[in-house]
Amino acid sequence: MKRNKKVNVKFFVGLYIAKIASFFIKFFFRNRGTHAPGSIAIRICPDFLSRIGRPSTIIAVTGTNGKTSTSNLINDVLNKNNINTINNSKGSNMPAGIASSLIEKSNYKGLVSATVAVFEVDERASGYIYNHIPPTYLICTNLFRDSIKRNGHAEFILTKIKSAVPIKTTLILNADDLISSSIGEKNKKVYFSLDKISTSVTSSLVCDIMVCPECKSKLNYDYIHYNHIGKSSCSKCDFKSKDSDFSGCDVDFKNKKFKIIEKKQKIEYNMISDSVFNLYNMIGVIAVLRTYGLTHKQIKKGLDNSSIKSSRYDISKIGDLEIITMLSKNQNPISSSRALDYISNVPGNKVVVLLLTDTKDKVHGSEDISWLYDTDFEYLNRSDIKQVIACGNRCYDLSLRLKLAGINPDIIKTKITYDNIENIIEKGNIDKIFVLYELYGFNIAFDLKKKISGGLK
Amino acid sequence: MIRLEVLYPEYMNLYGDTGNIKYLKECIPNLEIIYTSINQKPAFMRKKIDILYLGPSTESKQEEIIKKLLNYKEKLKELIDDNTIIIATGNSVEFFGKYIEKIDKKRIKCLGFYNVYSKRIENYRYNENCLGKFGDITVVGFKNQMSHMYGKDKHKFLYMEIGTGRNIDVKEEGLMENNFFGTYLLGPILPLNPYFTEYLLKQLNQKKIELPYFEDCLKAYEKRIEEFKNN
Repeated sequence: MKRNKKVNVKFFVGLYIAKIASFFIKFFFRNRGTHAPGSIAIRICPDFLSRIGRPSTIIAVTGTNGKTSTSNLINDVLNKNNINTINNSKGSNMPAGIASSLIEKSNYKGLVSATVAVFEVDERASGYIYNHIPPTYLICTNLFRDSIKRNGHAEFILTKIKSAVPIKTTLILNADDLISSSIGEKNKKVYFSLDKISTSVTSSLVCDIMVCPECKSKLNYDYIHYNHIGKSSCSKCDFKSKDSDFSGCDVDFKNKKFKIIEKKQKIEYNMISDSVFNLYNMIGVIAVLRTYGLTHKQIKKGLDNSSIKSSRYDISKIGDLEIITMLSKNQNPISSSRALDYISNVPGNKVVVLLLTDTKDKVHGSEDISWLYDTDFEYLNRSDIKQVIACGNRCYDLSLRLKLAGINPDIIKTKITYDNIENIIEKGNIDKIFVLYELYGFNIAFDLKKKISGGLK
Repeated sequence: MIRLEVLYPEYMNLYGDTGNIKYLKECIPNLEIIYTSINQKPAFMRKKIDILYLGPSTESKQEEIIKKLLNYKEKLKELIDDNTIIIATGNSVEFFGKYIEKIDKKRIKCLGFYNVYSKRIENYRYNENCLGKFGDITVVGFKNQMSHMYGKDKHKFLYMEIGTGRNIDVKEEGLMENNFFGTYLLGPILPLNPYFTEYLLKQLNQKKIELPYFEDCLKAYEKRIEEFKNN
């Protein structure tokens, strides 16, 4: 158990008021996750995170995409190996969320009994959080263009993380990402990667690093899994992707198996999801937990009993028809492109419902739709996609984008409201209905799923 | 045939700028697109081009880009004087002013065509929804930037009705002279603005001007104006 700073009166006032607030929130809001107690504690005691007790091992998870799945999986595997953890999965990945999770598990002295803390950390909050809670291990899953409003551009976020990482932190980095693999010049580093697989390509709609950071010459990509994630080298100088300590290979999507190469030895794992995104998450998790000290046998045991949360991916079967709901991170073109790529590769005739209008962004007036043009809607331009339904206030923007992606205008439908979407779905000769929804669209997506299912029974 | 040159797409493509190129491709059936990378000499130095496109870049890349552009300063001025369409979105508008002042107060020398300069602000990203007037045409768009533009120059592009101009104290936005349009608005400004796109196409003396997917484009544009005005 560690503290960065000694406790003081302000700390205890903050802790106890936050605990009382937490009790009432749980009582009135049925145990709903919240960052409010942490927010109260930090307001009363600004360096609260430095003074509260924390486990001696801190695993921080950051990056543009895959933070939540990666941190949930790390947490699950540790728990399944009887290692007591604390995590911020119920709160937010901002300082208040982390403080809330520590408050909830702490005793009256402000101490927690867990062995390991697994914290998902918002990239922009890196400076504040790592200053108060220096991570023992930090995994950065990847860095690329994200929501403009939230994150600006990848270089802006990279600078924030670079300046925040403590020198003693061991970094677990994605060797296939030339942006995030440049973090931590003097830190101990462990790299993970994924070998070329059947779905690898050599170019993508958007690529966030095309020029050698050393000599400014063109970068050549041997293969790309998505965006700029892949293996590359400079066309002129010696600059290239880092060599990997843990690399995924022999990926068998059909039988859901892959292998990890560590020190020339191959170890087989079962895939918990057949998307490249989640494959990367699994390889990152294995790299973190091997570095922490678990054996492959322990990690495998944990992963075999884990799953990606159904709130992010869920399949329901009504007769021969499958209804699949999938999360696509708000205004995040790479996350959305991955989801569209995944949909396009699933066999069968499909209807795709796009619930991608950011339902919370209207408080700022209107959503910036630039991201739609960095999103590869071209994946839906195929004959087995029988209908695409664009919903919400941005339905006309989406419709225009879909048409510019070459999709037959006759199969595109628009619906500015979310009621009765089920009535415009043409279900004849359809095998699968995909409902792609943004982070705050969970309820709309599940309501729609219920209505489609109800109509078919 | 109409020739469009997209300058340094590996750097100047941060926010859905491909939307502008995709839309122009649909608008102009005989469009030839030339992508010029940072280590290449621009096509406008050796042949006639009709449209030059510059998108936004990261702050560090701005310095590399302006070093290159300064080599073509005279030709760029000539293109503006000759009525070539030049569209500079996001922070690429800053290249046409006198200089960019960095956080450490050091100055990056720019083309100096207009009596304005830009100033970066530490730990700052400015987001805004914007609605401005270009003559009778309403132009809508979004800003996301780490700097503002200062100084007085009559060559404004827009007069803002919603949102701010070159900086938060003025309503005059961007730069415009002949067919040069420089604006902090970023991303797919052409599919966002059907009437402005129509205006641009008229400058190319196209016989037939028909915006593709006009109905979607117009509905999206009208919905956006409604949302901007009601906020």
